Amino acid sequence: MQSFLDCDREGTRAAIQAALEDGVTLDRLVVDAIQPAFDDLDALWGAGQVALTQIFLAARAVDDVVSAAAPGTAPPARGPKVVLGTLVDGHSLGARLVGIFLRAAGVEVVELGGKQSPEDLCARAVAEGAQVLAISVLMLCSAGRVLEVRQILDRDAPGIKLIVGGAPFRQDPNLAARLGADAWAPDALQAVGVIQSLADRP
Amino acid sequence: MMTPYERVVTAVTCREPDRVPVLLLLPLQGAREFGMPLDQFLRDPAAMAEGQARLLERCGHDCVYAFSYGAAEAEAFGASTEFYPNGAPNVARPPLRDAAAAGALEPPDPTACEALARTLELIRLLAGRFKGRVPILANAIAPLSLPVMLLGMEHWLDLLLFGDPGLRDHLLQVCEVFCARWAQAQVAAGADAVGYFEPMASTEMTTPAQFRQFALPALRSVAPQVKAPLIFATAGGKNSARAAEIAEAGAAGIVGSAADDLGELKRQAGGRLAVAGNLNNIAMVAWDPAEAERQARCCLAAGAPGGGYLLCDQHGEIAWDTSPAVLAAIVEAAQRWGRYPLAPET
Repeated sequence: MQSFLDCDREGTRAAIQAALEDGVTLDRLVVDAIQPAFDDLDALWGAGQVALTQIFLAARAVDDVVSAAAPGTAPPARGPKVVLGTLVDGHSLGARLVGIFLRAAGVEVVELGGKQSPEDLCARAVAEGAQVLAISVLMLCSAGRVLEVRQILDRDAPGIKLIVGGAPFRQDPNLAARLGADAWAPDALQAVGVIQSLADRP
Repeated sequence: MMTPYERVVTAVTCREPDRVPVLLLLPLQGAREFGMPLDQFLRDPAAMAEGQARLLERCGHDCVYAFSYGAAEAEAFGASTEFYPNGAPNVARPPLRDAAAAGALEPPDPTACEALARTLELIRLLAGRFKGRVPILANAIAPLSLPVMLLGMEHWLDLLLFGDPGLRDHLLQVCEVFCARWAQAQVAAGADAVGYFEPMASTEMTTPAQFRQFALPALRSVAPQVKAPLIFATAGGKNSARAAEIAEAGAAGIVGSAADDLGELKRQAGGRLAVAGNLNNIAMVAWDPAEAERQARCCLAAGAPGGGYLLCDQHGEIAWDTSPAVLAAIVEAAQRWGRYPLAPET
């Protein structure tokens, strides 16, 4: 946790690596150490006591380890299958962070990247058999197009849950509901819990 | 009664004008006056100047805004711009493909960039009509934030946090030189104040140590090179806790976030920094006039006492879909509740 706060990528990676070499499985590490550290980090973020640069460091450090995990050692899949992308605009860092934190939590996620159209996002969610379509935006005019996503899902795949996030939703907490999203998350760390609970809803 | 210019100058110098000035920052809305698509309008200085004049006439606020779109600065570095029918344009693709490409970068001449030359023409046209009567506000993207447009956010954070310090410092230096040149070019063309846009300096984006290592030295360097007040803006990011250091580094004003306590921001500014803000430009799209008046009154109650306050949005850009009736309600609120000496119920 301290190495997250210090933006110490090497320190974080070394601590995780040492635990793995001591025989701790990656799955246990995620459940017992990384996820609680993420929860602490998110609480500090909510209180305004950590910055995006520290969240970014945490994501990079954990991604280093999860991406390098030997085949068969990755945590078992937990929660719904997620298709994740940035709608219209090219500001895809938020979605990248959500993807990293989802994978670290053992959630199966298909990342589509930036500049996705409503039609492409919905088509991929259907084709991948996803239970959740997660959308990130930075610009308000991009957020407005969530309405189109809602309409396509209602028509073609009413069972897929729609979650949104990004600056416009944080600035106006009523915006997600006005645009027809099933849920929204104020940051990438909270997105993991929101997505996992969303899939349990009828 | 003061002119808008006198009113804004008095507030920016931390004194009480006749009433709180209102800055409606409307770079896009003039397009509606001509029924022009935004991609045409934002490349037409004459239409933008006439749009500002008409909006000023209709809304009765206290400035004209000599700003087209932020991505224009990235065009000076070779970027292309993507336009949208109902919002601000964006960089289509960052001009630097990776951090290593920053090594050969030199600060470009802003006046040689077509998009920025159009902004200078806009300033000259506005100066011809309004100089000395209505303040002309311009913008420049600050050195810690400009690389976001040049590299993309993820590449920039990788370089800033984990990359080659020499490369990082070179890119920051290029952006610092460019920022000072561009801001001063706009002042030379007739701008009265420059919004110094540094979203990376908000408390949500960087730690106090990173703010002090990267953002503050750049501000200290740029401020004396620009012969007009710099208004420090974090585009909706919180900055209250950093206001005292921002004042010390040479800014004349600061724009507060809607998430900031405006009264606390004023206390932190300590009369050395004018405070502007902090209407929520995102939520504003859904407001009705009554809500706009309520929000404006909250801002006035927190910001107006003692002077040195300007009522405006937190971001530096009111959204395309904001209702004209909401804009009118904001101006009316300042006219009614923002007169000095303030009525006790403000």
